[in-house]
Amino acid sequence: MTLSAEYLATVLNSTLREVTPLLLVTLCACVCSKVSVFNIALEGTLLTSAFFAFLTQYFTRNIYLSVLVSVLVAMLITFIMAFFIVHLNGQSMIVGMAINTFSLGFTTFMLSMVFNTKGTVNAMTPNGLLTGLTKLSIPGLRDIPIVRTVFNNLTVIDYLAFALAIVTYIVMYKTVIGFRLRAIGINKSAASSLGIRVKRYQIISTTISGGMIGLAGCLLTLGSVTLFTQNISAARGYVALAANNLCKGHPLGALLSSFLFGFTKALASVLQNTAAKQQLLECIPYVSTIAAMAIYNVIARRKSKALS
Amino acid sequence: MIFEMKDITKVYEDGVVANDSVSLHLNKGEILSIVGENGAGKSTIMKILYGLVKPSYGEIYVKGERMRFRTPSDAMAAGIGMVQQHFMLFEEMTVAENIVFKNEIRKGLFMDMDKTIETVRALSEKYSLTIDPSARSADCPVGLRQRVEILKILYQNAEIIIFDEPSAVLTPLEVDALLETLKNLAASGKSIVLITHKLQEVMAVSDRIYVMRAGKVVAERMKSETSIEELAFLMVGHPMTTRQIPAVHPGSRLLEMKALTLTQDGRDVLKDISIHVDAGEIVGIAGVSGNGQSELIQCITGLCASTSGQVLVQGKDVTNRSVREIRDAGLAHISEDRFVWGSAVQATLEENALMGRQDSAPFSSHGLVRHSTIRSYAQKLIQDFGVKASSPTQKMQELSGGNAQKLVVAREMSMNTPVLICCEPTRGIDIGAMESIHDKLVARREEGAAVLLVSSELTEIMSLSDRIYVLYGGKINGEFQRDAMDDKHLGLLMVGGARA
Ligand SMILES: Nc1ncnc2c1ncn2[C@@H]1O[C@H](COP(=O)(O)OP(=O)(O)OP(=O)(O)O)[C@@H](O)[C@H]1O
Ligand SMILES: [Mg+2]
Repeated sequence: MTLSAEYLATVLNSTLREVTPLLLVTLCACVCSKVSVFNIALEGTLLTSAFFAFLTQYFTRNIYLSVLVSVLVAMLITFIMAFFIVHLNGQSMIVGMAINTFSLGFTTFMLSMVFNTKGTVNAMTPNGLLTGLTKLSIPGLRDIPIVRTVFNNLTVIDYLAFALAIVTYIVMYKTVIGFRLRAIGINKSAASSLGIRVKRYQIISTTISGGMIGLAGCLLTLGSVTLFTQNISAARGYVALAANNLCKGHPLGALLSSFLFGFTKALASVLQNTAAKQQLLECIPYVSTIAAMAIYNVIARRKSKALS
Repeated sequence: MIFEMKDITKVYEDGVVANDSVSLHLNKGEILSIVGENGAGKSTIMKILYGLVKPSYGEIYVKGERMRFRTPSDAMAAGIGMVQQHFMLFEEMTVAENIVFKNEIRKGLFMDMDKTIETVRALSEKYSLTIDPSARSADCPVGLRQRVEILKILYQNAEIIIFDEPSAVLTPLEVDALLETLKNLAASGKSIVLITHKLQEVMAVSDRIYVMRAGKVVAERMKSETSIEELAFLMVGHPMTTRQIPAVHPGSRLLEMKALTLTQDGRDVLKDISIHVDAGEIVGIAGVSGNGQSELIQCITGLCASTSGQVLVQGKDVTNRSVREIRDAGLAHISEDRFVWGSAVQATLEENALMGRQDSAPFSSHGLVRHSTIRSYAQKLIQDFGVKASSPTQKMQELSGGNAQKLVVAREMSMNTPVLICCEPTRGIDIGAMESIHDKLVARREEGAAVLLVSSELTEIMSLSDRIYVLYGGKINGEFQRDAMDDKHLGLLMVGGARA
């Protein structure tokens, strides 16, 4: 294996494709954590919406409808999560785990019901060949060799993900609504003592941000490849939690932190063709998550000590 | 008459009658004080006016119009604001952001930060309440944070401002500034209600005074017609006695600090503190708050690790040991803030009474707690210290501020340890109950305990202590014996003056 520019471009390309779903989920986590709703149902939400994106495409062959259904499903699940945690005062850990466990069971069951398999359904279904999201090829970029490779095979939603990071930042940090949401996250009782309906703000904002998980779900099943595998979300929801922790809920920071985790994931798959042991490679994203958190916290602690 | 409350009665869910047909009114531009014992119902009546608590019966009129407040926002819309004892701030946000919350200055969907800061600055200048609009509120000292709360209310255009024990957490200088602010506000046409236990403050600023006892208004006085003595008499129902403390000869050394030093952020918060308290002594630490008192106590009680030096309890070195070990060496601690260190608000009175002794006889054996013993013990504490509570299974947060304080004091004093550390033992406590706590402290001293007393009330320190150390800038700046006390000299040392 030679380390050519073209090869690096390929790595960068697969990094980008790993980053975008993770980024979308992290953005949802950012909003949830800013309004102090601890959402660990990200994983289950992602899995279920990914499944529904695939299912809708299988039955309707309408890509727009598939995206819409996936987004709505994600919003519905996030709403249920928020309703239980915020309105009914449920324990966020338990609500989240319940949704995650249910999602895994439900999608596995549906997979075997509809497709009669417990493993993978690929684009070549009994119903004919499925097509995923259209790959964009941008006129200026597709003519430059290396750059072409970097941006190869990206869909509208991939580009949208980056745009949404900026939009989320502007909404949370520049608008009046965002200001109130952040204030609520800092001190709920102060906000409600001024007559703000805190629960309503929390539920609505988390539900809307849940839609971004739906977009991530589409990327998993209808993005660079068109397929559904059992547990296709593969802990991305939890990695997003870690990414959110690293960026402290800041949407622009989420760009960096999800890039870091996306890169390690891509690295793991790129190295598959080498002599390294498969199982070891699969550890990379998770080990690096733990390492990143540890390093980050050590630095943060040093800094606060140096400051004081 | 800007507001009037007619025959307000409040019965809480557990049957406690907190207000019993209370009628009161406020005139425009007036400063009205409400005084009364702990649990008299002062906070409750004002929470009703502010829409935080719903009255069981009674009517509220604002400017002659009948009002029904369901939430504080209803009250706010009617021009009523309240500075609560526990501040309600968004810590990580700026002062300006805190003030405009809910009525933001916007440019379309966006925040107009420049204009926000400008408006807040103009507001602070208008009422001469100086603040830095772009400072983070978490970084502001208590006095400034209170100012932010006041500005928040002024920004909402409130005409009536309620203060519930606003001076309890302030340093003496900040108290002076606050009283000045109250007068300015009244002069600018705002109407003010002040709840406080400090009768000097009442006499300094108010125009009219209501005295409450057991849920009722028992007296109404104009300031010009009354005196501190009369108010005290009206509050507790009997004249106050002056204390005579019998001389006791100090015994063995029970608490000792040797060159205790604490360095934080490269600064010596405590430097070379060498003090001691002997058996049968009450030793006061006098000083303006923020000169190291809190840190000193935290270093003694194991809540904070000192940098160098030693702490000895009954001769045993307990420097930087765990709280458990230090307490086991024979020390009890009434902490400065009843809700931060002193109690668990969500727990019951019983549980709070037990805390710290849960694994020793007679409260538990073989790892199991004995409920009946604990219950009767809690009941005894409640009785002995006159805590007004409906039952020992009530939650701590349902007590009035002063009664919660009494329970914490009761628990720590009843441990009967040789060493007792008291920080602000009577914060938020009415003058009657204060007397009885002081009596108990003196009694512990006569039994041979060593008492270390920290208080921002100089009178409290002067009247109880056998010896006083003055703490200034983290150093001991003077020591007095009881018969050599002189408040002028003491005051001078407290602000860093030279030793005689
Ligand atoms: N949420 C509650 N539930 C039940 N009882 C309560 C509640 N809040 C207050 N009380 C009771 O109502 C009575 C009056 O309380 P309130 O807080 O008005 O007293 P206060 O005059 O402000 O006393 P303090 O000077 O100690 O602050 C007390 O007996 C208290 O125990
Ligand atoms: Mg009160």
